[in-house]
Amino acid sequence: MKTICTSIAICVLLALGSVAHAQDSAAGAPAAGAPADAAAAKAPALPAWIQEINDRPWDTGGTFWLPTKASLQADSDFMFYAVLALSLFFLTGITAFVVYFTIKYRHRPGHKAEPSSHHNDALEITWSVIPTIICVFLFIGGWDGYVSMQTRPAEPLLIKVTAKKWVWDFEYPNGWHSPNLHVPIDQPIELQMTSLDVLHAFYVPPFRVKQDIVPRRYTYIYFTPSRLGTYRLYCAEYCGMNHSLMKEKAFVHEAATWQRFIDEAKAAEQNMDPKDLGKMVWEKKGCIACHTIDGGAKVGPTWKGSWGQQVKLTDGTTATVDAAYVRTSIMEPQKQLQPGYPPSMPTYAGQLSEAEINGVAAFIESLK
Amino acid sequence: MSTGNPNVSYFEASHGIKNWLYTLDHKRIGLMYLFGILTALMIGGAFALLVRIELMAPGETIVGPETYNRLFTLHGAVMVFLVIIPGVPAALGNMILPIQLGAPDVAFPRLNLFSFYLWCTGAACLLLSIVFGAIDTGWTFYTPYSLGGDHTPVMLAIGGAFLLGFSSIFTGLNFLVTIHKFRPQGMGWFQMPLNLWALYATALMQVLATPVLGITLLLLFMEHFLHIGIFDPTLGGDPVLFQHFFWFYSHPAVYIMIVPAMGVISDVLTTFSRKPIFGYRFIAYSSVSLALLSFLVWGHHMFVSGQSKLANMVFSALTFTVGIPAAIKVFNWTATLYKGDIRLKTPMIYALSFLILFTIGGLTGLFLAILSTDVHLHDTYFVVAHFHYVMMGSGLVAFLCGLHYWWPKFTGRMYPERIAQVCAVGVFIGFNLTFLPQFVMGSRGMPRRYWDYDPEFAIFHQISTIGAIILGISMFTQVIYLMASFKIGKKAPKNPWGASTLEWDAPSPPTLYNFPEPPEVHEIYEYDDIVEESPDNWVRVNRKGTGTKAEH
Amino acid sequence: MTAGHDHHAPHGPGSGHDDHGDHGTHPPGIQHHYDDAQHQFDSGKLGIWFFLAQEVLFFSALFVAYVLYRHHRPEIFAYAHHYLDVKWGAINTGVLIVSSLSAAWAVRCAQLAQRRGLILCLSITLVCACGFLAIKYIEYTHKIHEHILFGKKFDPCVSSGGQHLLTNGDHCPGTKRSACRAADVDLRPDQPGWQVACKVKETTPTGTRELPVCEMEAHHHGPAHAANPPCWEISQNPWVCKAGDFNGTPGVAALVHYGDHALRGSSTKIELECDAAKAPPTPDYAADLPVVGGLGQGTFQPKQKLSDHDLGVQRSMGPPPEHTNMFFSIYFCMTGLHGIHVLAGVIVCIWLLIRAVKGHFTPQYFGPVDYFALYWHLVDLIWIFLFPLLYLIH
Repeated sequence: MKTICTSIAICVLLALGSVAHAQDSAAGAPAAGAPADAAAAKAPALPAWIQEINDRPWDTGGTFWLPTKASLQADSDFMFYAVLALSLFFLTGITAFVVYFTIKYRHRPGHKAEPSSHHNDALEITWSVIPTIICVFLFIGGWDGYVSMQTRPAEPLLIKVTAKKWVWDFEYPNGWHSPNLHVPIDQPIELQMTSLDVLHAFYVPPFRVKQDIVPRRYTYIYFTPSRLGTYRLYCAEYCGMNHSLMKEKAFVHEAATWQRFIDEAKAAEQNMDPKDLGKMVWEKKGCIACHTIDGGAKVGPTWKGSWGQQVKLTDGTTATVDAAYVRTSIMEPQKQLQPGYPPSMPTYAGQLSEAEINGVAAFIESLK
Repeated sequence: MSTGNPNVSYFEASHGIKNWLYTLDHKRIGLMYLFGILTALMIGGAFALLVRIELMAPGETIVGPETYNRLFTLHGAVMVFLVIIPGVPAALGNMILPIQLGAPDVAFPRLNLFSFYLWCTGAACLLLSIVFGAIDTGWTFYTPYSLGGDHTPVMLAIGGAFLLGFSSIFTGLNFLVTIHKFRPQGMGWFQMPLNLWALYATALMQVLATPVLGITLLLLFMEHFLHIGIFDPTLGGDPVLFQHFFWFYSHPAVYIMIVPAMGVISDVLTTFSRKPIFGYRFIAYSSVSLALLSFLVWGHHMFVSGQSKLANMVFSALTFTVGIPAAIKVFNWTATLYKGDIRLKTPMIYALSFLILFTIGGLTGLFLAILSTDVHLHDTYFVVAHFHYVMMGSGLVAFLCGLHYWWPKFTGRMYPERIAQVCAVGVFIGFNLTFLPQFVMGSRGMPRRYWDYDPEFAIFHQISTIGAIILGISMFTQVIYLMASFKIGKKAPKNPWGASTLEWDAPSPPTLYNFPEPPEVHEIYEYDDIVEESPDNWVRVNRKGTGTKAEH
Repeated sequence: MTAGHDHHAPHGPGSGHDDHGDHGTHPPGIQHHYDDAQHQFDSGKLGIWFFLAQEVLFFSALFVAYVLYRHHRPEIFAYAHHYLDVKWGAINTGVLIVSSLSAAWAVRCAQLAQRRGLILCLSITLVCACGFLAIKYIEYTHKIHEHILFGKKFDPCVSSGGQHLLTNGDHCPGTKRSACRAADVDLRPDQPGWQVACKVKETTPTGTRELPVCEMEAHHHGPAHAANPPCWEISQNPWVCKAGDFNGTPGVAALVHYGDHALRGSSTKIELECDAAKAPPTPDYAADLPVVGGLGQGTFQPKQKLSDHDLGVQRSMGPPPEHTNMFFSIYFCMTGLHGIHVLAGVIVCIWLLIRAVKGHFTPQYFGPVDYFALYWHLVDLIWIFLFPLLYLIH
């Protein structure tokens, strides 16, 4: 009995807590998931203002139940609160009846069950029809909100998304690639998404949009950002070992700032010192999942101190770790395998530019 | 039919391990299932606790991501395939169904034993896959990820699940024929206990849905080893097709989990309220309609998978229809309490817990049926909490309810009431503490199957883990006292609860063929002539209205 | 729904018989928990119907996959079914129909206590079933031989209809190696540091042309293969011998895969020309090995010949569309699963035949024959769906 009451109390408190309890954009933790050894190397040479934006923590505000609303699609929150209120109403009602009846009709010496009807058609029909009608409204409300997420707007801004284990790649109209999503505010966005290997899913909770990403197919999602800020971007379809590390950020900029950002970032990368570019590739293109740069052991060989070494290969030959070796390892990883490591590295052919490949070689060289 | 002495309890009817391993007695088979299922429950629960301990803090707490992924996969696979799907039908159903019908056995006793051995072999394969490296695909085996990975654990896991599927099919087939052909004179369809309606509806789903799992697993197996290309996009296949095939079974599967649970609750609520169930016909019809409607809604697991808008609309609408019969049942059960005479024995505590937890589970399903909110909530902890409320908070709780309810009947022993009541309350508290925070986490954006998470979710995970520990202790304690009761439990009378269905006319425990004399079929859910006498709160059956002595 | 047999007071062995001693109350073959033979028969019948329902659902996913893939890629189905021989499919259909008839007749014989007739009919069913399996064996082996298989193994010979299929000597479109295998070619000596380039020339009465090489594969002669790691490592043209520790039988055979084999008749000549030159020396490779030019020249006939049937098909159809393997994945899954069910039926039929010979079946007890016949009818019915869906696509 007491416990049931306590549970009800908890429920009520939660319900009260769902009254808008907006927090400021509190300082969320900085990009988690990057292992400690990342800090050891030098920072890449992007313009300071771009770096500052990249380093911003993501928004952790919102109400008790839902994160900050950052897109027009977040208007579907109304449905969430509606069904929440409905649920709390019915839950409280049922719980109240159960508790009340259990107490009132509890067995005590001399107490007997009183005669009552075994069924009541009117009552049963009523409590079938009313929920049905409620469900019709819930369905319509849900359908409505859903359509707005799935209908292609008139002139959306197209950003191409490529997901693979366990990195994101967003391609912007100017040809720049980034692991983070940058979008201008109040502009309808179209994401054209595909995967290079297994299923992934794009999910930014403040945008309230989510869509599976399927290999060899394009899937689409549409949304219009409506609030400036930095938000968390997750992979929301289990994709293996580092599924929970496939997290990045989504930035909503002013329109002019956005354009400047992607243009300057692209230019900066083109002029970037190859070592810095290589380090960025290591961090953002998936190498970090299997290769360390501090000598630590992981799925693949560490890069620290590997440059120039003679390494034995599984076919018995030896090879020198030089630019050609690095290139082969990137393009045809199964060709020159070192013993003691699983042959599981996927190829990056077609995913890295020449500059990036050279950058990786330069970066590895710098780790001597 | 099994052989042995028909005049003593089924435990005593024959001796030796061979007479258990080759038994055709549904009660012995049910008991063996029970031991297997309880063992699997402990194993799956251990995996769950390891998962929750790892999630106490972001990043690595006790294991790395590869191990974590295997832990949650195995927790899911063991619980779904070895515990909850067989749970009520295989353990409790096998035990009780023929006795509730006044029958000596199920229609096909040899098939029943075969089902049990399929369960054992499937369980062995699944558990053996752990030894060989374990799968990390999630219990849902989504392609293309499940097409990679080591062959041996995948082969064992898929093969095990395939065998378990056939175990389920044959059990269902057996129950369908038994209910059709072994009802006694005087027990028409609408004179059956609601527990049997529920088992019938479940059996329909078992027979019609599980083969689709079978062929899906077979195709996955062939895809994995022979690269036939049906699900592999690089060979022209469609990975989303796997999801369709998988959920075509797995949605009815969750109704296979909940419908028999509802049957148990129906029987228990009426017994401990001492009045007939409210709206018998509605509940009976809703069991069958749930079974049939369950086949139409699988796409609601795939709203964001790339399915067409039209498909999403249809599945969303149909999903609402499947919620209505469930809601009606909750109202009917609550109305059953009205003007009753309520005793809070352990089964009743579980039944009342069920009412509340199932209400939460069902209502949170509405969030997921609504398309726009589902887009936000899909693959987050909200879904995890929802399905734990229905599968565990309702399904498993009802299993424990039925276990305690029928324990005196099939073991001839009473479990210790006080401890059991404390554990029941512990389950309720622990369960809510574990899963209520997960709703909030999920709606705030925390994705599922995450080994690492952002710090803002930490507090929810921590509360959840504490709840899980309380839950684990309560569950484990039950297994202990239940096993102990075989030796030290009080001997049970024929009808300790004063219940009205036919199985309570059999001795506790029943004889080999269940009834020494053919039982008299009487109206169920009528308690007028069952009189309470003893100060111990044990009810004595007094059908003839005179002071007949109780049987102990 | 109590099916006419609205039976019995709740059953209990009140008659006090224990173990199996007393058969007075139960006819032979009737299990004890049943009231009588009719009760047992009715229960078994209901059971087998439910079993058949689940069998239908077991096959259902394959039919759904068929419908979906055919809807999405009709050209694959239109092309690929030509690889199937309608003649065998039709014979199989006939065979199964006859066996269904004999199965039904067997039930009748059992009901009428015609033991000889029962045995005869079961035998006919068995023979037909085995015949079905034999024909399946013929079809399957033919396909295996022609590399007409599922997934990555789909590798039939391809006719170009006069066009080049390949560009830049790269992988053949649609399948990994869409060409017939060439005969083995000896190349020796196989020493480290050699680089070999091969050309394939086709000479027909109308002229000579070069066929592009899409892939080369090296393997060693004889049983030394397993013990010796491959010496010749292929990427694309040219190959280079890499490893230095080859100790086996001298001589390496090359399997050269080339596009557009044009197997049109014995007047076509296909020549392989390979040139060897020593690769630039590296520290690991010994220098000063004798250079041998023009290795492995020879004239050879392609190993595999297409049957005329397939040839005729090939000439008019052009190369297979991409992912034609999908059709065969579905074909093998559906016919394979069906075949397994036929095999299961064969086993049951043998068991029934033995029991029939022993005289177990009487007009009071013939349930197993009846249930088997029902199962067999379903197996037949499924084939009657499979045949037009797979063999008769137009």
